Amino acid sequence: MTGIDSGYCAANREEVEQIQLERLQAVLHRVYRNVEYYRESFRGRAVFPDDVVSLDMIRRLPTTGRATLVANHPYGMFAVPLREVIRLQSTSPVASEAIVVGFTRNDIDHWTELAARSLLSAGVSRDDLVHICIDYGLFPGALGLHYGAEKIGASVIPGSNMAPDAEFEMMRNYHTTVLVTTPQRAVRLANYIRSHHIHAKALMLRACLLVGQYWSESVRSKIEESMDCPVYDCYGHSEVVASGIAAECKKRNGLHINEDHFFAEIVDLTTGDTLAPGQKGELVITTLTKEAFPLIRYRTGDITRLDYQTCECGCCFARMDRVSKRTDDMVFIGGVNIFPSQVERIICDVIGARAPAPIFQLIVEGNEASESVEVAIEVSEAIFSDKLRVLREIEEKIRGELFDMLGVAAKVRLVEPGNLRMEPAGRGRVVDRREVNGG
Amino acid sequence: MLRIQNLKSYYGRLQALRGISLHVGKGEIVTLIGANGAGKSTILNTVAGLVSQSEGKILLDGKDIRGLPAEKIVKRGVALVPEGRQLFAPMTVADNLALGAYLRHRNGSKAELEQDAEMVFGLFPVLKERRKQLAGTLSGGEQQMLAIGRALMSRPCLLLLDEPSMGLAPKMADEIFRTIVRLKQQGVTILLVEQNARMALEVAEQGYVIETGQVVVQGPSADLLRNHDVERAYLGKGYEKVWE
Ligand SMILES: Nc1ncnc2c1ncn2[C@@H]1O[C@H](COP(=O)(O)OP(=O)(O)O)[C@@H](O)[C@H]1O
Ligand SMILES: [Mg+2]
Ligand SMILES: [Zn+2]
Ligand SMILES: [Zn+2]
Repeated sequence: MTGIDSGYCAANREEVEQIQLERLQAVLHRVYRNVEYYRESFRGRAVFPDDVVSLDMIRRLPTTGRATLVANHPYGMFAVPLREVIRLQSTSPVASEAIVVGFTRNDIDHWTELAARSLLSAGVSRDDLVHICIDYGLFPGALGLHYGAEKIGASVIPGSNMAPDAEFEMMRNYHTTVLVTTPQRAVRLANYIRSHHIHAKALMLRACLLVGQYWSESVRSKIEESMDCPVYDCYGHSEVVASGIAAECKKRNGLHINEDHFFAEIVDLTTGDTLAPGQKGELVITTLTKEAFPLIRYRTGDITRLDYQTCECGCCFARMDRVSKRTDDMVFIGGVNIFPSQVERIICDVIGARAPAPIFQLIVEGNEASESVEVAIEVSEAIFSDKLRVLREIEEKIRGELFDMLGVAAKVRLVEPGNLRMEPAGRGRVVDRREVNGG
Repeated sequence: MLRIQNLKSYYGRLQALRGISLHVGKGEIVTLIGANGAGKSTILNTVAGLVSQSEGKILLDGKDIRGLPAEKIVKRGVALVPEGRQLFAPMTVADNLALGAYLRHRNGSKAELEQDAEMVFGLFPVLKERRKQLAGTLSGGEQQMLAIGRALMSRPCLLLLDEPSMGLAPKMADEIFRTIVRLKQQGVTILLVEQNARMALEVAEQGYVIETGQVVVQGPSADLLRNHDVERAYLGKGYEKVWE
């Protein structure tokens, strides 16, 4: 009735795999013809689209990393001329790491459909009033969900940057039945509801969808308790589609991947080898239908595992575990994704350090209402024994650069060598103690 | 119903298909579009058993029919209406139809044959009027009807149609497309090759764009109608690069 195609998920694996093979072969031919980077990288490995005669054979193709997208910015990875692109979305606030993703008319329509599926699987219908409490500018996934909710025929209230009390009042007065938001804002709202001793039934929520970043099961129970509605996870990726790649159904035993549009693999973090179903590793996605910005074996940086058993709900699409970790230390701060490598570069620029890389920690605490970020940096004895004024100047300079370049208001603290507890291989550069991460 | 994987076909040393995968669901119309020489007819002809050199899988209801002789494939319920109709011009309409039935069952009863012919005449009344006429004297549209009618005489479940609107006046082409829809309503599954991409996509559920023996786009017809590659190449829209 809603005209939203469930995309073969009610069929059987054989049919899903036939569709995937057909679409995979077609997209490989398109990128080989239209994207020089892919043509060269396939040739470099002496594999050609014709060699991919089964889904397994995709392993012979090279994976694509974020760095490749940065290197080919702005339009090097586009598979159609710019005039056929109807939307451009920049996914990084930092000029030196910019990536721009393009969408054709069909790409937008597909995204809309995928977002609609995510909402439908959480039980959203045309009778719902969907409140999207997300800053559309910061998180492009919001736009997809907005279109998806409209496609279902629900009433949609677009996002804004309201304080929790205003948000709460609006939801209560307008009888919002579905809340779509980020985990941080949901936690903030839950805290407001708790601290004001508001009864959970004060809102008429039937479902809450959390998008955009990672959150713990303890966040789920906290929100469910204070808002008296089930909370669903919805997965997207800014370089693929920022919402609607996968979503939880009512059974909430993994997120259904929309396999008619995406081919998913799990690879070993270090070797890059494809792992057997059920093993944990990095999620690698190949887009099967995207026209403007197709991605072949894109390394998402998200760690999960896949389950190919048909879900109790009847859907035969593979399910992924909720993402709990990333391969790199990317963090979301104030809705912006920050890589420690970006922070490292700024530190190097300011203190002029060459290799070895400076030792530092990015410590994030609190919740969205009061998020605090501290950057602790180990400096050499020589610098540390300098005049206090010099130290303060360096701190101030780094602080300013962090704000200008990354948009992060951080406290900067220089410490003596050996003061930061680091794990090998640069791990532990991010210490996330925020509530949403269950820390 | 039909599921093709990695089909490669050769004419001597020329490789006309370079690994085609496609499927047609029961009761669906699926269309293949693409420029001349892309390999569309080769796909249909290979399915019908008329191309001797091929590799890959052609699964009809799960059984691989690739490499079977053409008459065995007809017996499995697959009928081809070839490009350019290929009727027997010096034979009558009725005899052409009888020939179509003969391909299915050499010893079918006369009553069965009459029954099937009546079914074809029901679909194309004009053929009934002209049943005694020689096929070569029919108009282009009537010849196409006869070609389809002849294929239907073998009571196919899968009909392969190669450019049925070719060379027809627009009104006649419309008539042929209406027939295609009617056949689908009667439960016939159809794989349709067409130059007239727009009309084909309007009647089909799914489509494939073929370029130099490969599938470059696959999807629901509605998507293909809005795909710029399709528009550019086959719906006659202009195109030039805008960046660089
Ligand atoms: N009988 C044949 N012998 C040799 N080459 C052929 C034969 N039929 C087709 N070809 C070649 O195979 C390729 C695909 O042709 P075809 O399937 O007829 O394309 P389409 O139907 O899409 O126009 C073309 O290069 C064509 O010249
Ligand atoms: Mg042809
Ligand atoms: Zn399910
Ligand atoms: Zn499903």
